[in-house]
Amino acid sequence: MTESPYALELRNVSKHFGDIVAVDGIDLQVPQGEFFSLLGPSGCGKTTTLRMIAGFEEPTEGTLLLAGRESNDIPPFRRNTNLVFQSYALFPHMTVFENVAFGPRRARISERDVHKRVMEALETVRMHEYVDRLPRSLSGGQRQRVALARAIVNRPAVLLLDEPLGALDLKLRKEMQLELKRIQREVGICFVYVTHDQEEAMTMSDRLAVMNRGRIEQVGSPEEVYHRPATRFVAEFIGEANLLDGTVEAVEQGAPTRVSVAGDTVTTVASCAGAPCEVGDRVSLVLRPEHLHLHRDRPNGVPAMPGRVVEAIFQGSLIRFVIEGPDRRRLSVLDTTASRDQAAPGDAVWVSWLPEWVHAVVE
Amino acid sequence: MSDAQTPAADHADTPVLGTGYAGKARSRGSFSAFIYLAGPVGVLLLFFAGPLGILALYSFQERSRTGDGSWTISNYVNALRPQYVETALNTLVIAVLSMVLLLVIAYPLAYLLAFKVGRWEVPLLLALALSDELNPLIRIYAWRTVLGRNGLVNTVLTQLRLIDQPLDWLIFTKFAVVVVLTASWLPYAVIPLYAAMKTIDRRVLEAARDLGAGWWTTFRSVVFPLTAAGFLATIVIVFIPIISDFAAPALVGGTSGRMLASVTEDLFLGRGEWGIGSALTFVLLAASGLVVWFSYKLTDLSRLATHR
Ligand SMILES: Nc1ncnc2c1ncn2[C@@H]1O[C@H](COP(=O)(O)OP(=O)(O)OP(=O)(O)O)[C@@H](O)[C@H]1O
Ligand SMILES: [Mg+2]
Repeated sequence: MTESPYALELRNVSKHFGDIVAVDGIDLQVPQGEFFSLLGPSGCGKTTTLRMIAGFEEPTEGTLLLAGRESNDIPPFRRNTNLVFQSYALFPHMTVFENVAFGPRRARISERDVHKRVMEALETVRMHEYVDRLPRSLSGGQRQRVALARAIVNRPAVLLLDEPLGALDLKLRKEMQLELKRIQREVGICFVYVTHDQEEAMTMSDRLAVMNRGRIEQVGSPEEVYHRPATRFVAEFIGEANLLDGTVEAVEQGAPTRVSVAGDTVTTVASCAGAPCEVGDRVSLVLRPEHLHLHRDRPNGVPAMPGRVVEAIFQGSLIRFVIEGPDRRRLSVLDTTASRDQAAPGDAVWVSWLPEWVHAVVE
Repeated sequence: MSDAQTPAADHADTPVLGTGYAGKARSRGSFSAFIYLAGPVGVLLLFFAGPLGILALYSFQERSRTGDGSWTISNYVNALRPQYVETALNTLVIAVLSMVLLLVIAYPLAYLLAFKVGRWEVPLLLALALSDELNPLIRIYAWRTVLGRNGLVNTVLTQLRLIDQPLDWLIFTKFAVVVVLTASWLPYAVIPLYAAMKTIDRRVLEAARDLGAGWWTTFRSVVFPLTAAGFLATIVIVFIPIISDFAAPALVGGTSGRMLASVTEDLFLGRGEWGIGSALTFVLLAASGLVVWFSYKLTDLSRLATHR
């Protein structure tokens, strides 16, 4: 059998629970050693996808491949995957050591090697001083690390993590994010990481998939997904976005060269990552707040739109302006160069952007 | 607004058993605890320990129809007569067989109920509880129509030509008593085991499978240790009524399925031999005590041996 470059592949995989379609025909390819995230709102099918990969749910349709091998019918205990449960699911009657040793002991290796591997794994997650504790006497973060050690000690080809930081406070969460990233680099195995926190997915992933209602809306690097969202949903879900409705008036190679916005008052060029645009298409222009600039007078040579300042909010390193545009739509602007006394509520201003930062998604 | 809330808040803070009181209030708390406990303890002494004490006295007295009530240990000597020893062994064999069979059936059943039957969980539980609502005597008579010489089993087997003539060991044997006892006490074994299973997080079972454990390893190293206490409770709950059952052996046991309790009943009510009857009662009690103690040891051992 030829070695597959992909640790994991899903081909048109669906999962139905009675009438409920939890996962609706998704395709995924995750290379060996990648940190891959599944990101999406609650109920979009992330856990179901992970559970199909782990073997706890069988796909209703489609094919699942692990290391190039069709795996739909392989039971969980024969798969080279391990799942870190959102609720940790540690064995309550076993010590930290016994919990982590559970997997290695199933493989036929000597107790000495088991001991060595368990201690290594516990050192990786910095829990080696707690070997004799029972799970109930550990804090949430410590339990989470034990759950992680229990999974990585098996050196699976694919490690599946279901919102493993969900229960932690912000500070511990940030620490664990870095630690997880470090561990992933250290052990070099493929991580499939489920979260509904877009910031978490952005900081940790090599690539990520944005899911919505059982479908994958876009797969790409964090930069791609942020700067070139394929759909309106992705644009709104990832980061903060101002969306302007417009009509395509001219195209070149699928990308609009002229879009009229706000009742023909503004025209701009835009890039386009999703389906190619055609003349007459209704599109939404995605403008990130940090790409917008404020001016007292109409600027020359760049697309600009008139508006009125509604609020100017001091946020430490920058100021957030809320601007009301001509079609009464509100825009959020983060301008590092403007100061608060430059534009006070009620002032008439112009909002401009550089054409290269404008991105269009077809409705 | 705050006025309206005060009484409710006060009420919520009042500890039920006086554990939250301090200083002077605490001694009043323990006094009232004494009052609370006096009732149930009194009832127990009067209706449970009392009769048992009387039986204990009887077991050391001449208490047959012609007996004069003088002190003696002859009852315990008589209790060692071959016929009683044989019945005692019979009782033990039947009780242990029923118990083992009961656990073998109830344990997987409880597991299925707790984890596998999905939306049938509650209906099945109710059916199980309901099956126990049937009058025990009627239930035993029903078993006679199933196991009897011309009963359901024999009829079906003869019709299917699997046997030439009715099986004669189906009823009035140890077999019949074991079957009836097992069936009668099934709900009492399943329900505590089910309750114990329900405390296991389903994800923990999945974790075991995820880490490479097949069903047997999952059972041995996760399910059993986590339900050991419930397992012990079940043995205690069910073994004592089984070993002291007198209706089943009397109605389907015949001579070979005799048990101590039915013999004791006969000694008391039929033959008026209260002395030996009392002595046998204490033999039975000691045997039950032994089994309970042994189950404790067993679960202790299992706790030590599970994780490898
Ligand atoms: N066993 C099940 N039976 C019926 N429906 C289910 C089952 N498991 C999941 N679903 C449904 O499938 C959909 C996807 O569920 P899933 O748990 O995968 O969502 P999720 O993306 O993990 O959400 P969250 O972020 O809240 O964990 C939901 O609508 C859910 O109600
Ligand atoms: Mg989930």
